[in-house]
Amino acid sequence: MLKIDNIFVNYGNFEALHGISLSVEEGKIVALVGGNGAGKTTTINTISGLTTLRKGDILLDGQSIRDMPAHERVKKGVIQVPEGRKLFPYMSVYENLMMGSYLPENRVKRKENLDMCFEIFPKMAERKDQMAGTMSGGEQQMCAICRALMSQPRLLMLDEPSLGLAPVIVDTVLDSIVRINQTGVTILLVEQNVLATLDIADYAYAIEIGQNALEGTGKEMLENEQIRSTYLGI
Amino acid sequence: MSSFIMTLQALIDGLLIGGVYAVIAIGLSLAFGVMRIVNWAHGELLMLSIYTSYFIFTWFGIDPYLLMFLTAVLMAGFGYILQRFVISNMLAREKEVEPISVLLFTAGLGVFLSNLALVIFKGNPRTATTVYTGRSLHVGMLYVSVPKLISFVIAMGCTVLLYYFLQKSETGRAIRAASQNRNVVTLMGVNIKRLYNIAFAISVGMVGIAGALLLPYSSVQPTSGTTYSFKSFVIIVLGGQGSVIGALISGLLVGIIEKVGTLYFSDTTAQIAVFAVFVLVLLLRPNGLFGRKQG
Repeated sequence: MLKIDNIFVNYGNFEALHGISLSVEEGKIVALVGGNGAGKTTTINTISGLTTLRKGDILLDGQSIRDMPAHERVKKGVIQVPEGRKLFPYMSVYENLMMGSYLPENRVKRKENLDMCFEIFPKMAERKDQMAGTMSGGEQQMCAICRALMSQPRLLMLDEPSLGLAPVIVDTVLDSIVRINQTGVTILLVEQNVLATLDIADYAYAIEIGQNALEGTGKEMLENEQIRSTYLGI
Repeated sequence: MSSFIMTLQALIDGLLIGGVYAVIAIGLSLAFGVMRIVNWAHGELLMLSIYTSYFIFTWFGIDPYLLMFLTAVLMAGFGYILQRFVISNMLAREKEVEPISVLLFTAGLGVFLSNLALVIFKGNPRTATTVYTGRSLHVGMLYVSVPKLISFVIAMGCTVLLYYFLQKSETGRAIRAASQNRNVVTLMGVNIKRLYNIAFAISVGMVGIAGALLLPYSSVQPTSGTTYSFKSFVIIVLGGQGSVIGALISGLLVGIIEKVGTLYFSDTTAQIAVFAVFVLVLLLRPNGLFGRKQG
């Protein structure tokens, strides 16, 4: 579905990505792991079109989206849940979800998608009228995921969804990602919580300082010596 | 006249002019709240709009409250073109959140427009004698200027309309969202450049309406817009950036402070009172009376 081919990304003179390649197969959960500053967020932002490529290509269903503006990629179903949630803090949960379904093609299915969100996260139905910025971190993360679901993703990219959350909430969030995947949405998951992530991932890539380091199925990666010592400390 | 009646009269006068201040300030606030553009040319755009209203009125004899629609569309179009072809390109080049080049550009544009007006229209003030000019209603011992009253009512109507547009429409919601987190609205599929064009067009369109509202009771000259632009900055700082309700209440407040001030001080000293309140609010409530904390 998505293929990233040897991409290079610069921030000014600083080269953040030097030749990342990965592919995401339709219907799968693919994980992207790596330490701080490895280039995980840059990779996701490049797929979303927030940063521009210096070299390489991004193919969606075999077609290059390299020169497609970010908002057009949303129309193609490439949706991101950004790092740190990035909700609209002074809007209610409901209004945040309405923003998620801003595009006319998503407006038509608002009712159904809203019901689906409330079914996955019943808490959001309770918090519907609350100002988004006043909720707890876990609730904000749920709201951010719901907002992305309202955009009817084909490829849902989540950037560190468990960051700063209590362990019990982390489980809820990761469970919901599996559930969303089961409805047919392809997932690209960036996480620092490597153990839990590899556990649910069909396939995983590890990147280091802007380059591919390792890849394999979730199970293979969990058994890999290097992964175990670098990320899991065992 | 008793001092009670005089105070009441000042309150009414202040309220009526304050409503028009609010419309002008809301326009400025919209550009600032969404795009972080400090539009220093706002007052000169208002001047342009007053002249446009003046000429439409004198050449075609259209009622100022009807030609309002025309100036609103003309000015909104001008704002759209300005944003689409000039400011947007400057924004694309700048990485800063509050781009300094745009600030300098609008300041320059302001000076350019007011000097251009001076060259073309000369400095002498003109007045448009409309059917409303000088008319007033007498209610007991109070009197209410008819054009000011009509302008006030229209100003309130525009404010309410804009408020509902921002609250209820898809575009309005996107404009509010962009003012809270502009990088993320792109991830919702919003074409941010187009949204900015629309927001700036509305911002300048508000000034288009204000120009027509001011025509029946103000003099038309190249400096006509300047005082309004200064007051607008005071109003949006008082009201909190990007808040329509805040700008509305602050606009009315500034009008009232000004007019009530003239009861106790001279006209010019009353102007100072507005700025004194402004400084006090900045000291005690830096986010404005209705502002929210900046993230």
